Amino acid sequence: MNRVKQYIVRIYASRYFWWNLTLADLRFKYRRSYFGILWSIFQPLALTMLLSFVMGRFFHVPMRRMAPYIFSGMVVWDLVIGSSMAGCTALVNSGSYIQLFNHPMAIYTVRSTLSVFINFLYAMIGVLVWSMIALPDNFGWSYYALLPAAAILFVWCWSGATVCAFAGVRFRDLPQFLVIILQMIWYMSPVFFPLDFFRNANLDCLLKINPVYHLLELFRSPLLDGVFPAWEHFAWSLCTAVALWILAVVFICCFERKTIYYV
Amino acid sequence: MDQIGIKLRDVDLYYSSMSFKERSLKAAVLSFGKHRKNDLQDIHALKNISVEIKAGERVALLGRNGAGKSTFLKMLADLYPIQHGTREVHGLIRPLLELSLGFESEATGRENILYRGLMLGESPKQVRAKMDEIIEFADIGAFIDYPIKTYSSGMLVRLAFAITSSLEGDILLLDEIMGAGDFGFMQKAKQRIMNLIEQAKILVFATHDWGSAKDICQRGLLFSHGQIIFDGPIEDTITEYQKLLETENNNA
Repeated sequence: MNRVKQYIVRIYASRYFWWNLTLADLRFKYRRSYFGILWSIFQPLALTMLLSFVMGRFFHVPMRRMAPYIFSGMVVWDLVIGSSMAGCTALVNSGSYIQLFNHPMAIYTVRSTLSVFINFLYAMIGVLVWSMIALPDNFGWSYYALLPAAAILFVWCWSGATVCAFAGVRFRDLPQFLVIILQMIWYMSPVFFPLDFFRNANLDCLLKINPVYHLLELFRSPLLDGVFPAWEHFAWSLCTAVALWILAVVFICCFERKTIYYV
Repeated sequence: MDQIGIKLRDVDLYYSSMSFKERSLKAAVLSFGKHRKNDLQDIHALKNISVEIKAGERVALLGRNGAGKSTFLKMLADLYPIQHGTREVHGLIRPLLELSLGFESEATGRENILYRGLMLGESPKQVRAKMDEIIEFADIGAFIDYPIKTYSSGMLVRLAFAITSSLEGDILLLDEIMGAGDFGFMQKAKQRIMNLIEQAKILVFATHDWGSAKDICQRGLLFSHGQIIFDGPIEDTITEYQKLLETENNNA
């Protein structure tokens, strides 16, 4: 436990380095772009409008409710997929730093996750505004639940990215493999499809054991229903985040020292 | 050993070959059931190294290419893990290794000064305070505000050297950087290194330039095939190195 504490202290000590690199990533991504980081809102928004129109007709759900459902699902899913994929190459891309200075390697997954997470936060502004306009009655105390939800989601994504980074640096096929796995999870998760779609097909049990469903509900309960998320959603999300975090710590302990030979 | 110093005892270091092995499906199918003659083995890069370097010492590392000098420096910088033995290094390490690495190619020279300074443990305030002096020393003109992907390799090394050498440390690790840049810059760089060396408590310097080694260092370590085969005053180490080269040339 003392080793973990020391490691976290070292991550904190190098905070200026990874924070500035994160900001640099965002600057490079939108350099010379007219709308810049606003694309984080525009992109899912445009897709939401199209999908909510089509799927609302298909599943007979009013667009007023369907749009924030899809919008919230899309931004959370984009974060999960973006952080995992960026995690796969985080250490390989940081090879030149790793060969120069002995910083804790988790800072490189903090960097990759944070830049995707900042995009997510911008996109969430769009979700919030849309929800408040489309479903104004839901605005209230329950919105405070979004703060712990975002914190849990960050730990979830950073831990997943760290596991992917240490695995990806040794097994270069991981990104391709992960695309297939994530696609399968997407089909099993209510990212776009309404919950009734799964319930009508007697796939309730699939939802209950799917951590993505619980993560999504942390955001959708306050936004779409105006209520605090049920305790089981918090419990599932927190437990899976802690499990992923422990796995990330194990990967760091087992693989970090020799990673320099693989980058 | 709480005061500044380096103490290594029975250190062994192996380069892992796993990262370089061909592990594709094609290779697995083609080599199925066959013993591969050229299969890569782990390299025993440092063998049974025991050495102590105390505060105030200037140590040159001599030896042919691949003898283990750079690996030794990277091991001291705690970049490469050791497999056996003990490694004790007390003091703030300032490595001047692989100068052209660690740049963000999309970022400008000015931005990269900040990132590299932060990588080396400085705060943004400290880096900004030294920014003008670093830019002046690097002397790359208007390019400082251009992305470094537009730089020549010489300009990159000048910038990297200007940043890294502007920061002080207790233990200075140098790896053959005297040849960086053009003649004018080399003179400036040498002067800067001499100042750094004066400030540092310990210098460990890998070089093929015997003149520089004699000028700067009092002690020499001679490396051959990952082992220290001689440890003594720099003049004696150079003599031993000459003998080693003669023997190897005669045997060739």
